[in-house]
Amino acid sequence: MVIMKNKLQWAVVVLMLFGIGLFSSCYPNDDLTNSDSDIVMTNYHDTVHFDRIQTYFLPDTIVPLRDKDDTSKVDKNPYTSTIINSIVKNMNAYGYQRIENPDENNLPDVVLLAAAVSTTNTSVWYPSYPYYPGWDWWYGYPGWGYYPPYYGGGYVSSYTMGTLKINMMDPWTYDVIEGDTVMPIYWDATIHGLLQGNEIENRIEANIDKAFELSPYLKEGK
Amino acid sequence: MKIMKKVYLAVLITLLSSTAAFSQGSGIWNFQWDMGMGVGETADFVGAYSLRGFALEGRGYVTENITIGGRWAWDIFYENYGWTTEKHNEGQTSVYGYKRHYMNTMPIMATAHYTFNSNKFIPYIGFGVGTYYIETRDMLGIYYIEEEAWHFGVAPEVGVIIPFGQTSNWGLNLNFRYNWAAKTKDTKQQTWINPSIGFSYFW
Repeated sequence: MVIMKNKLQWAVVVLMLFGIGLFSSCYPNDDLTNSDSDIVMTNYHDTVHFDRIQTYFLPDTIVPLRDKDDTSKVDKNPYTSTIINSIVKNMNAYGYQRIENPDENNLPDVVLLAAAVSTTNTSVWYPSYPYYPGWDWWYGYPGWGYYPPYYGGGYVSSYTMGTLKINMMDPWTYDVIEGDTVMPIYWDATIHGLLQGNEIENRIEANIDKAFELSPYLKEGK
Repeated sequence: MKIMKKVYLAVLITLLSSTAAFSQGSGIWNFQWDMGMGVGETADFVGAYSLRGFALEGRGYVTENITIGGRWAWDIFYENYGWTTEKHNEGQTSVYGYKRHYMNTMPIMATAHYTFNSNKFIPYIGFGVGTYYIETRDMLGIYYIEEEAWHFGVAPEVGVIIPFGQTSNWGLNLNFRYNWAAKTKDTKQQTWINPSIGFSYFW
C-alpha cells in the first residue's frame, strides 16, 4: 500500500476538492446560442369551430406593440416581408384563403394581425406585456393566467429580445370596452427570442412554421 | 453572494459540531467526491446521473465504535431535455422551447456512525439529520422558474474505510447514502442517492 507523506496528502486532498469544484459550476452547460433562446407559444379557444373558417384578411404591416399612449413614429419592421410571407405560406398550406382587398361582397371570416416589439434590458417578459387595441379580450386570454406567474422569476438583462405576436381575431363579434374596440381572439402565436446574430430571418421563418405545427386544429375540416 | 454567506456559515457549523465531538481525541476527516441520482419525484424533475458533488465530514469517537460529527456537501444535478413541447390549459396552450432542469443541494447534517471492528477494513453504518438547502431551476430558453428552500432531512448511509496500510493515517472511503429532504410549505420533497468515494484521514 502507498504511504503518503503528510504534505503530499494534504496537497492531494486540496487538489481533489479544487478539481471537483472546477467542473462543478452550480449551473453547468448553460451557454446558449441565440436560437436556443427561442420560445414558441400558441393558444386557441376550444369553443371555436376552425372548420367553419375559410378566409382571412392579413394586413401587410407589422403592428408595433407598445404602450397605449405612445404615438411616436415607428420605423417599418425590418422583417415585415419575412413574417407576412411565412404566415401566408402556412395559412395557405392549412387550407385558408387570403382575401387581400375585402369589400362588401368579399368579407373575410377572420382577421390575422402580426404585431412585434423588441425590448432591451428586459426585466420580465409577460407581466409587462405592452398594450395594443384588441389585446384586452374580455373573454379571458387562454394561457395567460398560467404563464405570467410561471415565468415570474425569469430574468435576463442587457439583451435585446424580440417578440412577435400573431393573432387570429373575429372582427364580427367585437365589443367596446372603455372606449376600445376589442375582438375575441380565436388563436394566437407568440414567438420570442434573442434579437441578435445573423440568422434572425431563418429563425423567424422556422418559428412561425413551428407555431403552425403546434396548432394542427387550425386545419380541421379543410 | 448571499449564498456564499450561507455556505460559509454551513461549513462553520459543520466544523464546530464535528470538533465538539472530538474530546475523545481521535476521529476521522472525510473528503469525498459525491455522485448522485434522483429517485422518486426528484428523478422526474432531474433524472440524469450526476458526477458533480463533493463533501467534507468530520467524525469524533465517543466510544470505541461510535462516532458523532458533522457533514457538509454540495451536490449538483442537471438534465438537458432539449427542445420540448409542453401542453397546458387542457391542451389549448402549447409551449415549445429549449428545456433544462437543475437542482443544487447543500446538506448540513449532524451525523452518528457505528463502526464495526475489523482488521483490514472499517465498515460502518451511519445516520445524518439536519437540513438541506435546495435550489431548483426549471429553465426554458433564457427564462427560468427558481425555487429555493431549507428542508428538514435525514440521510442513512453505509460505507467502508480501507486504510492505506498499517502505518498510514489515510484510507479510501466508499459509501452509499440515501437523502430524504422533507417537503416544505412551498416546495416538494426531494430524494436522491449518493454513491461517494474519497479519502479518510485518521487523527
